[in-house]
Amino acid sequence: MINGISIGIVIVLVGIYGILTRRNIIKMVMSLYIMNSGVILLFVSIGYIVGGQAAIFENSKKLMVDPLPQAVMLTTLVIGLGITALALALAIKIYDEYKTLNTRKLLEK
Amino acid sequence: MAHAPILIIVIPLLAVFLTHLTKYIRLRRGAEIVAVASMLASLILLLSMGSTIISGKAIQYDLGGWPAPIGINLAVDGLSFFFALFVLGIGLLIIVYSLGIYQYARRYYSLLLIALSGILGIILTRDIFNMYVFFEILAVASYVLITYKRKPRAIKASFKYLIMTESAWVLFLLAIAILYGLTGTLNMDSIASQMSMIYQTNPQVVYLVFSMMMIAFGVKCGMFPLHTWIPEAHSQSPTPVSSLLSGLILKVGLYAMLRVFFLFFGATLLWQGAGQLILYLGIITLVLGACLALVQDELKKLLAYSSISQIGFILVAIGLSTQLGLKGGLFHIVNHALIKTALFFCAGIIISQTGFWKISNMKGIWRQMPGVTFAFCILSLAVIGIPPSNGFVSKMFIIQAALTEMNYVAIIFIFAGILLTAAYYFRIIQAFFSPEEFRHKPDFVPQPVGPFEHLSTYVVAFLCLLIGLFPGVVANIMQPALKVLLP
Repeated sequence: MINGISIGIVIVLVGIYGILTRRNIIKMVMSLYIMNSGVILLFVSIGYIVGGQAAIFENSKKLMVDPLPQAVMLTTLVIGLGITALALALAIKIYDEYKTLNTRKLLEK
Repeated sequence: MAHAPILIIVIPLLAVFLTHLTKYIRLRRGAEIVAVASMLASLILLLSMGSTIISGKAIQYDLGGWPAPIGINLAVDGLSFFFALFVLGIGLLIIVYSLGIYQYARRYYSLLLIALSGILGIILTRDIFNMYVFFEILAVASYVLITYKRKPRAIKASFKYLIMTESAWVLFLLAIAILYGLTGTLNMDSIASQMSMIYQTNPQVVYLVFSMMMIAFGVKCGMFPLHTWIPEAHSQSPTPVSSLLSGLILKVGLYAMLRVFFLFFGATLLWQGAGQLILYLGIITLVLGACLALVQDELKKLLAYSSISQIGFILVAIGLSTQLGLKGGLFHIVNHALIKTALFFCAGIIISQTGFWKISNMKGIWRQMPGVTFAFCILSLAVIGIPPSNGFVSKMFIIQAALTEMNYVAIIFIFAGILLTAAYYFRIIQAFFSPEEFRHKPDFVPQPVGPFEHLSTYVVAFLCLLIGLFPGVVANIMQPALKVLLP
């Protein structure tokens, strides 16, 4: 069954795989953001109803989607953006200091 | 003061902006004054609720006037009061310690206040998504604080901490998503009331949620397989930040564990097995941390491994989950926060005076700085648990709890842990009091250490003895907290 929830779970698993296997710092940050996006898709899909309208007052007589996950995931998007920016800033500093982005080589230094 | 619960969180957060605005007024050390004043204001607000909490009632506060299941709800009950009290106390001590060193650094105080208000938010909130947001606020502030001195190794440590914590929080968010899908609410009390029904119909989901939350809180509190960020992050960060990490941030992970697990899973059958899991992971944590500390030569790294080991003791106490065990666990949380904060203060003073990081270079240091060495000795006796220090009382409670539960594996390993703790702390004390003459580092200019650093260290060392002599005072504050956990 292909819906938002199952795709979200697959994306989270891709992110977990990436963060466990990649040795490049930039790719680790990318995997982190992929995990985050997967959770966002999953959470929004939980509140989704097929054929539902946006939850605003005009539509109050019609079938509406759950607005809470959308509001909550807006916060998570912002947090994810901030964390990714900070992680990339740290990655730049690490590259400046050690001239490598490989975690294996970083461990030796 | 009807709005006191939210003001406790918001006052330090507002002070963050004020610390930056002090640039425009002609006030000497304005940022420091703002930081201390905001912490004192929060502490006074919290203490004003003290009598209500001690009598066993809880104070509820609805944000924006929206009632509980719809709006975000803050609650000050026994457990959150207990944690908020020692977080504010130790936060104040950390700020007082930093007064002497980081002169005129507004950025440092603003980050410290963001971290502290994040911690207070985690403690007071009753909305699980709000808890996640406050955890992220705390995390972002602490990543930047670790790299404050821009040392290359600190940046590496901070990155490791970031990757581990953030991937754990993604799992926490996934658990929140599953819970929201099942219950349709984010309020912790509403979720808890539906939890036993979900467990009866679909236990696998509850196992999944439990394991995800276990990983998330385990990373934060340094449980055995997830402890690897602690040694680097603790030893590379500036001294007050090491104290913040060890004294408060690890404890916040334990708070979340106590609050969420006892509320959600306390009533279900799952708790029987989950308690055992936490107990055995705690045993591994305490023995492994102690063994790794035994071979360390770097003072701050040793203290970090010692933190891991002491967290193991608390996890054992949580895993026993009896009245006595939790009493010991909560007591050890506050004791360890006090002791380890002050031990990092001592290590910071010694390192900034001598320039040495390794214990083998600190031989005979007591002639140079007798006061700090003496405080270090008292504090290490407190960590080991030798009477009349506070560590003795809490460890005695934990051992008593294990004895009444007839859990002999736990007793054997707790005693082994205590012996190992004694071994590595006596090794430091032996080096400090070595008869050899202390050899200064060639052409090292010692940084001046002011009265604030000494004051905060001695105050905590004195407090440790005082709590050890009069444990009843802390036990009285702890009583409502125990009632919240085991009603």
